[in-house]
Parts: sequence; C-alpha cells; structure tokens
Amino acid sequence: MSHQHAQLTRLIVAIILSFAVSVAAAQSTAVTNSENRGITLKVQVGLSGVFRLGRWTPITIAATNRGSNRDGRIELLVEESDSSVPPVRYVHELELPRDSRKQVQLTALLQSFYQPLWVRYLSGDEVLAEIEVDLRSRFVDSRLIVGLSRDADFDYLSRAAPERDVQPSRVIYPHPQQLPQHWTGYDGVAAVIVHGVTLENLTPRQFDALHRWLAQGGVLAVVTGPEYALAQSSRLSWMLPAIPSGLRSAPSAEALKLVFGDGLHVPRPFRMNALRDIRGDVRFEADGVPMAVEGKLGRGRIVLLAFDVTRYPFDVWPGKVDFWHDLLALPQEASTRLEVRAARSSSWVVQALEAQSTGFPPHGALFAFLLVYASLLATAEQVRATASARWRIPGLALWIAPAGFAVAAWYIFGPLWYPPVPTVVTAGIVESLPNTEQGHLRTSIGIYSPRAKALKLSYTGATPALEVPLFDDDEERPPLWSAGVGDQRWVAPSGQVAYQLHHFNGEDITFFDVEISGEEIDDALVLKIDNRTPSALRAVWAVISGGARRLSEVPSGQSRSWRLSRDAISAGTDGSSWEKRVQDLGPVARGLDKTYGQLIEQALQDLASDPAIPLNRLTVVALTQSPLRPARQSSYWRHVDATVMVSYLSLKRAMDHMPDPLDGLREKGPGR
Amino acid sequence: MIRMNPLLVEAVRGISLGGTASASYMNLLLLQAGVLVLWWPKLRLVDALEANDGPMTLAAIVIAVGLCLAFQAARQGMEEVTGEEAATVHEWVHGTTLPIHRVVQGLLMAKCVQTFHNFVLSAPLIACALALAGTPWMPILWCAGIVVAQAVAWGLVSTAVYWHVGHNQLLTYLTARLGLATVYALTAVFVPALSAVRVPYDILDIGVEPLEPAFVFIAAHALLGIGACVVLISAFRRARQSEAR
Repeated sequence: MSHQHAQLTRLIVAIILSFAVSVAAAQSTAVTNSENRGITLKVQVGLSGVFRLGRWTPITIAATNRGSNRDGRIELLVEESDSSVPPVRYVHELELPRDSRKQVQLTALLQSFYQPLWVRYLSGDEVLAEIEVDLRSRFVDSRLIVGLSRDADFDYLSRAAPERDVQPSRVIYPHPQQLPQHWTGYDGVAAVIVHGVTLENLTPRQFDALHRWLAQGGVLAVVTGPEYALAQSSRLSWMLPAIPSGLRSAPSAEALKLVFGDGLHVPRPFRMNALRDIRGDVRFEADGVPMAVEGKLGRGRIVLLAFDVTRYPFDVWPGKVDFWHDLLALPQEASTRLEVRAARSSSWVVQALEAQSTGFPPHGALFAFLLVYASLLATAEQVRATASARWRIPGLALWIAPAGFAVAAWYIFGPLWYPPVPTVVTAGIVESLPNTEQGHLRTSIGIYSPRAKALKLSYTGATPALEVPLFDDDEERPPLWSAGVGDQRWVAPSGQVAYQLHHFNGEDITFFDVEISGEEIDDALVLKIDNRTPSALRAVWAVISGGARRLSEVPSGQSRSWRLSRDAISAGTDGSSWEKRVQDLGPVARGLDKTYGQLIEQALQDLASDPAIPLNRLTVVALTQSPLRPARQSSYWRHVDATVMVSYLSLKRAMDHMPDPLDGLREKGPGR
Repeated sequence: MIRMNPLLVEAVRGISLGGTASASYMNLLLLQAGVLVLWWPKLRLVDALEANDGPMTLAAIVIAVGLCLAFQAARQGMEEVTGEEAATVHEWVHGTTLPIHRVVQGLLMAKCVQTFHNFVLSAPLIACALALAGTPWMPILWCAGIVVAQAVAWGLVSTAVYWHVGHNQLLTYLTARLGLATVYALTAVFVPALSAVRVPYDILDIGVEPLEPAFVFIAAHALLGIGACVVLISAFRRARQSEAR
C-alpha cells in the first residue's frame, strides 16, 4: 500500500511539474522566434526594453547569420488595433554575410500594445526569418529620464513629493550602445543625465541624434566628479557651458547650506571641480564658486554640475530630489503625438497644388484640336467624293493620317501639356534654432501621380520622422505605408491608383544654419543675417510688434546687414495680410501667395504661443527652400515647394515710440 | 501567292473611295467628339486629387466609340450604308460561284477591316482622353479588344438578320437601331458581364483587374460571331441549293 502511495505521489508530482514546465515555456515564447535558414533575429523595443505609448520609439534589431551569404532587408511592421491608423512597414536594407551579426535600429511610432510587432528578414519575397514581439509588458506611461552611468543610482528621481505637482518619471539606465540613432528615438525622454561616462564611444549617428534632440528642446545634465577629464573630451566640451579644469576644495559648509539648504550636512571638506571658460548662466554659486552652470543649445538646455551629486556629502542629502527637479525644470507634457497628429490637415499641400499644378488641358485646346482634325477629315472626304484620278488620295494615307493624329493628340495632351510625371509637394516651416546650426523643420508632404503606378519617393537632405495621416474612410482598407530607413530614405504608399493624393507630415531637426544677430544702438537696430544654408532666403521680413519691414534677399552662403530705425519698421505696419505682402513680391512667390501667407501666419502664431520665446523680440521670416528634396532616384519628379523660414532675436529693450509689447503685461501684473 | 478574298478587296477599295459608309461614320465621329467635350474634365486637378478620383473621360469615349462602331457595323451589315458600286451579300451568294466558306470568310475579314478603319478614325479622340487617364496600357488594350470584338460580332449578326429580313426596309431599319439598343440596355441591367457599357466602365474607371471581364466579354462576342457565321453558312447553302434546283 505504501509503495502504491509513493508511486501515485510520484506520478502526481511528475504531472504537476510537466504542466508547470509547459506553462513556463508558453509564457517565455511571448517573443516567438522563427529561426529559418540560419538567420536569427533578436529585438529590443525602446530604451532598456521600455517604451512610451504614443511616442517614437527606437527598436533595435540584431540579425545573426549562420548560413550562407544573404542579401536582403529587415522589415518592421507596425499595425494598430485602431482601424483609422494605417499600418506602416519600415524597411532597412541589410546584407548578412556568412557567420555575421549585424544590428540596425529603426524608430517607429507605437500607439498601442494590443497588436504585436512583426520583424522579418527577407531576401526578395522569401521570408528567411521572422519574430513576433509582444508589447504588452514593455510600455510605461511615465516620462523617461535616461541615466548614462556605470554605477550611479538616480532612481530617487522617480519619486516626487505630491505637493510639487511634477509629472511622474522613470529612470532608465541604457547602455550607451543602445542610445537612439535618430533624434526622434528620444521622443519619450525628458532628460539625459551623464555621469562618469564619455560620449566619445557613441557612434556619429548616436551623437548626432543626441545633439539634434537637445537642439529641439531636450535637457542634458552632466555630473562631474573626480574623472573630470571625461568632461573635457571633445564632444562634451563642445556642448558644455563651461569646462572642468581640475579639482579644488569645495566652499565652506555655511556657504553650501546657503545654496542647498540646511538639509545638506557637511562635517568635513570635500573636493569638487573648478570651472573655466564659463559660457552660460551660473545657476548655483557658493562663495563665488560656480556649482552649476546652464547653457543653451538651440531650444535645449545643458546643465553642468561641478560636483558629484552621487557622492559625499550629497549622497545622503534629502533635498536632492527637489534640487534635481528645480535644476532640470522639466515642463509638463502638453499632448501626445497622437493628439498632435489628429489635429494636422493637408490644407497647406492642397493650397500649394491649387496654385502650382498645371491642371488639365482646357476645353479650348480640345476644341482647336478637334476642329483641325474635323477639317482634315472633311477635306479628305470632299476630295474623295469629287476627285479625278490625278487627285486620288492614296489608300494608305487614310490609315496613316488618323494614326498620326492620334500620336499627335497623345503627345499634345500628354507629355507636352500634361506631363505624366509624379509630383511631390512640400509645404512647411523651418525654424532656425539659436546657438546651433540646426533648424526645426515641420512639413506637410503630398505625393500623387496622374498615372496608375507605384509611387516611391526617395528623398534626401532631411530625414524626418514621417507621420501618416489618420484614415477616415470606413468602406475601404487603409493603405499600407512603407518607409525605407538607413542610408537611402524613401516612402511609398501601397496601391497603384492615379489621381490619389497621399499626404503625410514630417518633422525633423536638420542642418539649417542661419545666424541672426543684432546690436541695439540708440533707437535703431543693426540687424545681420548670415545665411549658411544651401538655399537663398528669397524674401525677408523683419517683424516686430505686428509691423513688418521688407528686407533684401540673402543669397546662399552670404550675409546681409541692415540698420533698422523706428521709422523704417513702423512704416511697414500697413495692416496688410501676409498673403497680400507675398503677392506683392510678384514672380518671387511663384503663385504660392496664399500658401506662403498661411505658413507665415502659422509660424508667427506658433512663436507667439510658445512660453519659452521672449515677448520682446524681433522675428525674421523669409521664403526659402525645403531642406527635404527628392533624391537622385526621384529627380524626375516634379517638386512644388512652399517653405518659410522663421527665426527670432531677443531684444534687450523695446524700441522707442513703438508699442512696447510688455506694456499690456505690466498693467495686468506679473505672471506669464 | 495568297489569293485575296474578293469581299476583302472590295471592302478595302470601298474605304479608299469613301462614299456613304465614310460619310455616315463622320456623323458618328461628331457624336464621339461631343461625348469627349462633355466628359472633358471640368474640375480642377486639385479637386480630382482631393476626391481621389480622376476624370472618366477615357471610359466615356471608349464606351462611345464602342457603341458607334457596333452601330456602324450593324448598319453596314444591314447594307444601309453600302455604296451603289459595292456588291450586296445576295449578289455574292447568288451571282458568283465563290465557295460559301470564302464568302463568309470574306464577310468576316471585311467586317474586321472596316471596323479597324473606323477605330483608327476614332483613335485621335481616344488618344486625347488617354493622356488624362492615368490608366496602364493593359486595360486600355483589353478595352480596344472589347470595342473591336463587339463591332465585328454585331456586324456579322446584322448580316445574318439582314439575310432573313432584308426584304422589309422598315424591319431592317428598326432592327439595326432598336435591336442594338435593346440588347445593350438589357445587358447593362441584367447581364453586366456582357454589357458594352459596364465592362469598359469597370475596367477604365473603377479599375478592376481587366483580364477576366474582358476575356468573358470578348469570348461571348466571339461565340456570337461564330454563331452568326454558322447561321450565314447554312443560309447561304440553302440558298445555293434552292437556286440549283
């Protein structure tokens, strides 16, 4: 009996163990990997495996080939459960020699976790490997703070006192190799803290992405400690608002308490870094010793701490959470990408098309052609009816002449009058960012073809994050968008339908170096514009307090200066709309008056509503060329472009006899 | 050396000399030009793009050309537009010793040549619309096949009908018009796969894959033409036999 009991027990245990193992195996295959033909794929979503919904997310794909040489591509398919969001397929060409391992990073907009991601490696139409990535366990709903450090712990930043009303954060510690290669990969990141590591190990793309993210408004904090030489490396030293020059004794405990509060306990002295070449604003200073310096790069901020906040005496300082929040001063996030995207429209593109499209051939041309043809036929008929043998029309002519007219008709109403080439329309605003050679490009792009053919636009110059519009037709399936990433960039909607306008939006931080400087002398302003972009600034206006003064063109690679007196600018206050001002330019505007007018108004409105932009400013707007243009493979495309540049110069004081933009605010009281 | 079929020779000669057939097709060309003008795009290009819908000029003119070619072929089959110098089908059957199969063969080739010539006359109008269409070449070629197939088939059918009712001018007149109109109306409503209006419209405007509908249409009209040829052969044989007796 006891033997049977033992056997029964063993049997039950075996069954339970088998069940447990099978359940564990099933759960571990939440990421299923189909290894085929020697190709293996591994995927990491986000930074340190986490991502934020509604944000651009870097997706790192490692492909290993244990088989024969392969020349193919990686495809990442992003599908949403919401049928109004079209699926997008990202494509990256990838050659995998035998026994090789390569890694690529794509940046995709992930809006939900219901649908898994599919990553495939294909050669031609053959799927050699594919992997399904479950997103359900990977998303977070708090903003991310990236800590680049070997050993520091900044997790306390995730905790915030409720009374501070600070948006929740989560600190992640990705390996520098995992950092995004496109600036949009930092979309979910609020700040980056660098401690004890160098940026020299980043690839050029990663460093460029970090730089661009900073330029558009990111926050970088660099904590220096005994290894101050790391901050002297070329990449960091170029960005930092000051340079650590060596260790020195910290100020007295009393001086430190004045700055950091009584909570900082300093029973014995400690060493910190001395700073030289201070280019920014000193945020914290004790006994005349700069403790933290803040500089600007474009719209972004870089904060340099001259002391190691992870070591004595700051390691046990209870005030460091508040200190960090005050230092980083991260703004509340106003809206998600999804909300911003829903609000966009294709109006700029449509208006540009209205003005610039060649249009269908007019009825008059058709009438003229039909008249000529009818006359020919009538004449031939008359000759045949009355002809003698001498005037007989050869039989072959009665076939060749109409055929010739058919060819002529096709040519006149086709390639001559109505070329069957695809067209790309770019309409947008590029804001030249201060203190950097970057510009913030926001553009609407429309592509269409008068022929039913597959559209594939290869582009260069800018590498925007492309947002496809929401699809609102319940009766049809949304198109599948494909986007080529990597060295050659392209975008292609599915389907081959003529006269279908495919519209999408793009946003990028790209090279656009226009330096605007000014010197206020008495009641005048000496304004200088240095145009280092490849395009001319075709029509330039100086805008101040609602008045606009037309300035001369600034060709590419050149600079111009103007002395603007109060009379000159006030004379420009004529109440005209921007469309009218552009219309007065004549052929310079190329018929795109309405589009340019709307773009300029939008750009000025965006600046006016941005709390980071000083009210007392001079704004410069100009007509220019989009940094994004068709690449060589699409050079035969027709390109209609309406792009305006906007930039601003902060003024120290309002110009006399001009309405002071601060007057109204002074009356109302402080608080902006 | 291949002996040219005399009916074919006469058809080609008739094209060269012009006459009633040419003049009547000129009137139909005016009708087609009117269709082209009416369906020429009035919207701006940007409106077409916003509606995601291109002009339907090509579909309209191809349908019009198809109907006109069929009507002209029917009239030629009914010998309404045959010139005085041209021999009638009765003359070919009763007045010559040409074998029956050669007569029918000649009729078929003559219909093809006449239809193809009329199609060439309409080609400039189609070419005008083609430039706007954006349609790939294959659907257009299939539609050209549809247009020619229906004209040849109805030409043969009308010849067969004329052989039996040609002695009655009123009946001949009505058959060429009402018969064609009735067939086209009924197919458009009840048998769209055989409709000379629906099939080109679906291919050129809606953008359906052309192979299957075009093949069905052309095959059906080929069968119709073959049936007409069979009817003509048996009718011609009976006529020759009764003449021999």
